[in-house]
Amino acid sequence: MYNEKVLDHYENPRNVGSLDKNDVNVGTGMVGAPACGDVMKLQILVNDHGVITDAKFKTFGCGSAIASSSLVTEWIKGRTIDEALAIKNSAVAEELALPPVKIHCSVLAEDAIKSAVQNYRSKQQQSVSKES
Amino acid sequence: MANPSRSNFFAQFDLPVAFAIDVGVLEQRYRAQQQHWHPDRFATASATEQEHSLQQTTLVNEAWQTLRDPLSRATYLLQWIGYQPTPEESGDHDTDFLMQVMAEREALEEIDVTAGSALSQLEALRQQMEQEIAHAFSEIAALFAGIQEFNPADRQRWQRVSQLIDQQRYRQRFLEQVDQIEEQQLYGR
Repeated sequence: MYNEKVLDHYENPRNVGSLDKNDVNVGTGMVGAPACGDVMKLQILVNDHGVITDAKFKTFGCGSAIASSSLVTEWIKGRTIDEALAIKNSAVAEELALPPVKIHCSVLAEDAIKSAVQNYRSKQQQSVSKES
Repeated sequence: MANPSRSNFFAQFDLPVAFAIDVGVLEQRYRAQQQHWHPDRFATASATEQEHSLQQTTLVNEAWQTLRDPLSRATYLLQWIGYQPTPEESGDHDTDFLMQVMAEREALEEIDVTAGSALSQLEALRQQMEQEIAHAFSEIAALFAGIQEFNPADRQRWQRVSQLIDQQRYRQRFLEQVDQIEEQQLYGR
């Protein structure tokens, strides 16, 4: 029932784990659909040039949700924040050949990137205003 | 009072439209009506009367099933009010809650089911979850106090109820998982 790429990410998920959420250079994104039991945490480590040098995720949910988050961590590593924000759920769904009922999993993954970037940016602003 | 032409499960049992209802009274009235419309009592009645009794029995059962469970009662009340979440509203979950979900699911995942302490750890999680459920139901009850027909000004209030209903569903599923793990542990695979 699952596509090969989904199975591959599900069985060998990339970048599972956590980054220090108190680090000012780490952005933590939390998204989910609690009623279905899906929850996704995606974290990014950003360097001074706005490049994502590391990404980690932890997802509770179906195989497609795990595969979608695993895939986007691979995609965003080494990219700039703006490039990461440009990733669309349709690209994730296409890459994993998600069936229509699983499209929402790719939407969650896209939202997780946005949520992580938003968290990173608000932490950066706070740290700048503290210094000045 | 909201749209009187709409079927109203509360009226079926002569109860006021409210979240906080007397479940004992509900059950009494359900039993009485169930008896009243029982097919056995219409065995010698005309076909039309038999059909009517069957319809009434179905309606009474549906109303009872919907109102007896607080979560389906809350869901029904939102419908009665006329609140429908937009996709943005239903996807909007507070980060604190999601963090909590993550921590709880991690705690469940980390329990070593072969360890002797597994049962007491599972029970601790169950208690925590049951407390959260009770807490959320009291918030739902407070939000439903003095309900009336939909008023756009109350949108946020009903969105919160809808969000709490989703959260309760998660907790129910979590408890089901705890049950499953415990059963496997007690009775083998």
